[in-house]
Parts: sequence; structure tokens; C-alpha cells
Amino acid sequence: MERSNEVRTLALLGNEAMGRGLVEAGCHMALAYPGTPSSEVLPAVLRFAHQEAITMHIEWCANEKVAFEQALSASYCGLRTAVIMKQVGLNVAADPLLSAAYIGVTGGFVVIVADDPGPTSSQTEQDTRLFAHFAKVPVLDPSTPDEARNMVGIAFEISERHQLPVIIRSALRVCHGRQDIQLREPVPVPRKANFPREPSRWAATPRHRFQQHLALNRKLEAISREMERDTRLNHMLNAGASPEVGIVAGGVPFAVLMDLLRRHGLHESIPILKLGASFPFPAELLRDFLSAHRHILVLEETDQLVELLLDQRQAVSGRHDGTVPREGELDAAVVGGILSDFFLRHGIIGEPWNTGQEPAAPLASLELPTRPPTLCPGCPHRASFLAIRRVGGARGIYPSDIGCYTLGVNMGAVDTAHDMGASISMAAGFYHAHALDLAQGTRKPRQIPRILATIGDSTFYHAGLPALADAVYSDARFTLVILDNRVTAMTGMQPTLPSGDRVSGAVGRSISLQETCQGLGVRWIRTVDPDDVSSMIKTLRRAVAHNQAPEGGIAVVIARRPCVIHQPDSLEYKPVKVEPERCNLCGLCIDYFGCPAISAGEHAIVIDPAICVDCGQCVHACARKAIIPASDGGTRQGATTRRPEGRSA
Amino acid sequence: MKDSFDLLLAGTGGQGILLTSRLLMGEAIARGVPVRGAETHGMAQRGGSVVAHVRFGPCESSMVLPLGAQLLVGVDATEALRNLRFLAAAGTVLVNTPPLAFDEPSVMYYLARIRAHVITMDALELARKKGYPRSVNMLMLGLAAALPQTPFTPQGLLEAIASEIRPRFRESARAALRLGATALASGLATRHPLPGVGADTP
Ligand code: SF4
Ligand code: SF4
Repeated sequence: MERSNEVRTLALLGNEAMGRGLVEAGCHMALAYPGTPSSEVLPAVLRFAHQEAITMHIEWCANEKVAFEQALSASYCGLRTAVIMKQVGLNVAADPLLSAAYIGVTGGFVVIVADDPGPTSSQTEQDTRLFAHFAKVPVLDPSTPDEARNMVGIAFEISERHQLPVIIRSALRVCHGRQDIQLREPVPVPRKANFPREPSRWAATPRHRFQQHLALNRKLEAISREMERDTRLNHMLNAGASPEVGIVAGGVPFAVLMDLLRRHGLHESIPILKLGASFPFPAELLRDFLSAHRHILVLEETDQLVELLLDQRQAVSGRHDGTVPREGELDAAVVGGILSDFFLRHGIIGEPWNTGQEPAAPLASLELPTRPPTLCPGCPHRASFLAIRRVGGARGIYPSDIGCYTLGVNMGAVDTAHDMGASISMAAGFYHAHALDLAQGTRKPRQIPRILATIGDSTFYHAGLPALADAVYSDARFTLVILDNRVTAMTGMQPTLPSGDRVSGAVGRSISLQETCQGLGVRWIRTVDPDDVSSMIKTLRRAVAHNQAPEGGIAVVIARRPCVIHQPDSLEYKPVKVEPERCNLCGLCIDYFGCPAISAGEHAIVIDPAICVDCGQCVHACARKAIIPASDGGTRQGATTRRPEGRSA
Repeated sequence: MKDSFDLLLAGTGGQGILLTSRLLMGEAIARGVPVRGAETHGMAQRGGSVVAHVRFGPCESSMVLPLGAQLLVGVDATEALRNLRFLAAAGTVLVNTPPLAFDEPSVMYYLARIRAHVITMDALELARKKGYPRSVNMLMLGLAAALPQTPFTPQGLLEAIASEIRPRFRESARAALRLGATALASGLATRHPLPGVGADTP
């Protein structure tokens, strides 16, 4: 929305603000793997770099570990670099992170990690600040989009001064919060890549690692001392206003706290220690704050870090004593309840606050219809799952993965969605577990359940390759369906390796799924169009036969059709109509197939023309042939596919 | 919170909720008013709940406090109900609905108790009739802008359209906004009477 250079204030998402921060701080390289709520950072870097005519290397990488390591070696060369990921992405990049703390960096190295308290679109509520503590790297914890932008520059500063990676942990409400941001001129940081060869450092042996650990601990002590004084990060509000209570807060809970105090007229009377840097921890500052107040409340997200690091906690309320819930987001209703109890207990207020829970209670009985996420109308995954479930049957085992297609769980064709790439390793595990019975003679070959695994093209290159190589090597028998929709759909349509599209608009080399699988030793590979449901079913039957044949092995079926939201024009026009007299309202097409356009009418199902995209898939969903092709030979009448507003994970 | 105004836009994916909130923020920036907001949506491939929080004036968090929104704009009636706990005492709800959909006794009782004002408009029907079925959000926004308590005006929003909305949709957006702004006066939107119950402040 920003076009001219005169516009100096923009309403930016926290993620866009951090992207702006990277450009303003003279960052040279930004790499990422998409994941909610982090995905908007990298496109913002690209946009702002482009507007400011700054040359940067910006790329979506195959996974977070790859992104981390590429950026790290660029930092060894003296460049300012950044990697961006969601919190579970840091699990994938944990290995290089822990080593990077010991070995250190040269050019500023900033890791932006988006946490998801709730969680709203993640597997876990893990607190990246604890990860930083474990990895022994500094972590900053912004409360607002503008603060997040400013922290990028501070993070580069700390990183270069102490030659350490610095993490900015930004939580969902900062990432997807919006604020008016005054743009600053980017500060050019002219650097030329220069790798100082020093194997004793970069390739340190375990003996040197001990020395590096020693040096790391010294750095952390030095940073901790700086944090005592750096009021940009840690500062006191209303110092000395009350000896009775004091609140230590950081991140999103700090912002919520300030709004609640203001609402109740307490914003100038409650002493607060705002912690923008939770590790290394300003120990003196906290000690002084603790001794100056009789009762302390700690509000931090998502887990306990500050609380754990305090050396005495008798006067402290927080998660350790159950004052603050140990799971879920600290939203205004929750924080309001905590504050009300805390202030009441210590005589700050005489009446409990109305936190909005009680008056709204009658509304809870309304039973509003929920809107569970479903695959889009016309989504090729729906057709794939229809075929997969038909071939695998009720006794089949369906390991799946992380993406839009996890929603195949609604169709009875997804049994597991564990972590990126796990579909393939778990399929192998399921096979070997059952094959053990074969060896013991307690099960016959045909009694081994059919195993049909599903993985998206992006997830496959993220973490599927080692798993597939291993499964081929260990002669696991299953069918792997690679749902190749040419895009990382769920997180907002980022390009994938097979598409060959690069974020910069440059053309990359597209990586062939077929050749990849061949190279990994798979001997049986077929490519199908999932919208041709009958041939997909035939192909899957052959694939399963190959799994079961003595000389057979793993079968890979590449189900290739673009995401209908990403490439609406790719959809073939196959209108359908309902034969009401054949429909007995068995509900199969509604409950199992689940196209949002189909609902139960009075005597037969009805198709809402405003939602239907004429994909023709549902013809195969009805066993009674109540949905049939409508060969009107016309052109598309119904809905056009639109880019969804909401997107996730 | 002097000089501050909090509002919530509630709807479903595809209704242009996020676009509407960006328009409001762009307009506020043009006036030099500090503005914050938040976008929340579930795993919405399509059709999921979408809520935008918009906060004018001094505040810290990006989200409106429960019982904090002076205005709740329900581009979808069900989504408005889902977010009713955000509505402030004596606040206003605008609902896109045939009036009956909001007629649940517990809802009416609650609204009366917090002395809320309810204005309804069958915006979808209206938008369809006018030939811009995708501009329901702009009709509702026009309705909101014409209220005396809102800090933005139809004129300000009309001007912001040029920088926030793609050329192809600008004309229908402007037309819908203008029509929405006159809807109360022309009787297209109606103030919905609430049952007389002992009002109290939550
Ligand atoms: S966004 Fe694309 S891949 Fe995801 S559900 Fe919709 S059509 Fe399917
Ligand atoms: S109703 Fe049938 S043809 Fe229409 S979108 Fe759904 S599956 Fe496709």
C-alpha cells in the first residue's frame, strides 16, 4: 500500500515492521522458511529493500536449518544476516544454533522467531526464550510492532559487539498486531564478504569447544551487565510509587498490563519493571526491584523464565505458585483476572475488577456455529484423499504431515500429523512394527494394513528426503503420495523447490520430484492428476500391489495439480448437478467428502452455486450417483476462486 | 482513555475485513492520529472467522480489551455475536442482518443490560441489489462513519480509498461507502429497540 517515498508513516504488521527493521539496520541477507505467525517478515524485507533500491540476498529456503546455516556462514564473512522462522522451526535449526553460540559470529546475526501462545496454528506452545536460555544466546522480547522494529537494530548491535547470535522472540500478537510506524532511513552498512580462515575457531575440536564455552559464559556475563543499564530494553515505570506491590512484565503481557492499568486508573501508581531482554538477565536490577516491593507479580509469556532465574521467590507470584496459568495465551481477560486477584489480595483495590467474563456468561450458552477449517472448494487435496481413503479402506493406516492437507483428517485419510516430514518415517515405522509380526509368524502378509502416507511438496523437501532414503534402504513397504500443488499454500503461497520460483522474482532451477525420488532409490513412481479421481484410484491400487509384492517396495504417487487458490485458472470446468430422486441424504458427501458447497436440503443435498467452483470432484464422492456431471457445455457460472484472507500455520 | 476509540470488525474470510481495517488505519494516519490494531483468524483456508481490532489514540496493546470496544461492526451477524464480550457499556453494534437473526432473548437481555445501541441493516441484500455484492464491508463501514461518535468520517474514508484499495474495486467501494453513510437517514438501516430491563454497567 505504500507507493511514494513521501509516505513516512505506515500501518505495519509487527512482522512487516521487523522486515523494515532489517532493511533499516543495513542487513545484507535474510533467509526464512514460512510458518505462521512468522511468514510476513520475509516478503516485507523484499518489498522495503526494493523500494529503497538496496541490494540484498533474500530467499525462502528448504527448511530452517538450511536457512540458519547459510546465513551463519555469510555472517562469518562479516555480513549482517538474519533468519526468520516460527517457533517449531527453531527445533529444526537447534543443531546449528547451539554450535553457533559457542563458535560465535562475525557480522551481526539475528534470528527472528515467532512464538504462538494459544496455540493458534502450531503443534506446541514452546517458549523461545527458554530455548535461547538453553542455547545460551541473548533473547529480546518486544511488546509492540514498533518495539520489535527497533529491537532489530539493537540486536545487530549486541550481536556484533559480542560476536553472538541474538534471538528476537516475537509472539503472535506482536507479529500480527498492526501499528503506525514512522519509517527511518536505512543506514547503509558497507561490507564486502571476507572469510577469515581460522579452522581452530570455525572447526573447533572438542578441546577448543571447552574454551569456547568458557568464552561464551564470559560474553553472557558481560551482556547481563549491559542489560542492567540499557534502558532501551529494560526500564522502570512508576519507580517508588508503592512499596506494597511491583510487577515484572515483558512481551505481549506488558502491553496488556499497561492497557488494563490505564482503564482502572492505576497506570501511574503501580511500579513496573519492563523487561525487553529476558536473557541474559539484568540480575541487579531485579534484585533491587524485588527488595523495594513487598509483593511481586511476574507476567511473562509463554512459560517461566524470569521466575526461574530469580534467586529468591518467596515474595514472587507467577506460574510457580499457580497465580498465572501454565498454558494458553495471556490475553486481556486472563491478565485482568490475575491482576484483580493480586491487587485485591494486597489491598490495592477494594472490589474485584469486571474482566468481561461474568457479564458475558449468558452468551456462552448461545452455541454459535463453529467454523472448523476445511479444504477449499475445488482443492485438489480433497480429490486425492477421496482416492486414498477408497484404496486404503477402513483398516488402512494414513500417516500425514504439516500443511493444508492435514485437514484430510476430516476425510478419514489422515491418522498422524506429527512434525515436518514425519509422515514418511512414521509410515516406515508402522510398516516395520507390523512386519515384526510377520517374522514371528503371528500375522500373514495380507494382514498387514495398507499404509498410505501423504506429504506436501514443500514439506517433502523440508524434511522428507532423509526419511525416504532410509525407508527405501530398510525395505519399508508403503505408498507415499506427494501432494504436489506447486506452492506452500497454508502459510500464504510461498514458492516451493519444484516450482522453481524464487521470492525475488528470479527464476531458479526447478527440482524434479520424480528425479529426486528416483535418486533416493524409489523404483516405482507414477504421476497422476488427482482431479481424475478414477485413474488416481487405479494408480493407487497398483501402488499398493507393488508394496505387497515380494519383489516390490515403496511406491511413490505424485498427485500433481496446483492449489486452486494459488492458480485459479488451472481448474478445469466440470459442472455437476444433483439428481434429487437418487439422493437418500446418507450424508457421505457432507461428512466425509466435506466440500463446503454441499449441504443437506430437505429431500436431497443441495449445492450452493455461490461457493461451488465447478471442479467436478464430488461426482466420485456419491456411491448412489446422485451427483452427476452436468454437461451443459457452458462456461463457468459459479464462484471464482479467491485468495483467502485468513491463512495459517 | 481520553481521546481513544476502539472498534472491532467481525466477519468471515472473503468479506474484506482486513482490507476494511487497513482503510481505517490509513485514514487515521492521514489525520495524524496514532493507530494500532490486530488481525486474528483461525486456520482459515476460506470461510473461517476473521476479526480485526482497530484502536485509535493512546494505547499499548494491539488488541481491544474485553468490554472495551465502543463500536462493534458485525459484517457477519454470527461473528458479531461471537465477539460481543468486547463491546463496551453503552457501545454500539452494527449488524449486517435481517433484524430477526439478532433476536435471541439472552442476547437482547445482555445488550439491554449494558445499555448498548443496536443498528441493523440488511447489507448483503442491499449490496446485491446495487450490483456490488462484494462491498458489504464498505456499506457497513459507511454506516459506522456516519455515526457522530466515530472518529472517522465518510469523507476521510473516501479519500483513503485511493491509496488502500485496488483501482478495479475503488468505484464500487466509494458507492457502497456513500450509500452506507446515508443508510440511517434514509431508513435503509434501523435502530433496533431493546427490551426495557434494569440497565446496569458491567
Ligand atoms: S489453500 Fe490451496 S491447498 Fe490449501 S486448502 Fe485451499 S486449495 Fe487446498
Ligand atoms: S460442489 Fe462439487 S463441483 Fe462444486 S466445488 Fe464442491 S466438489 Fe467441486
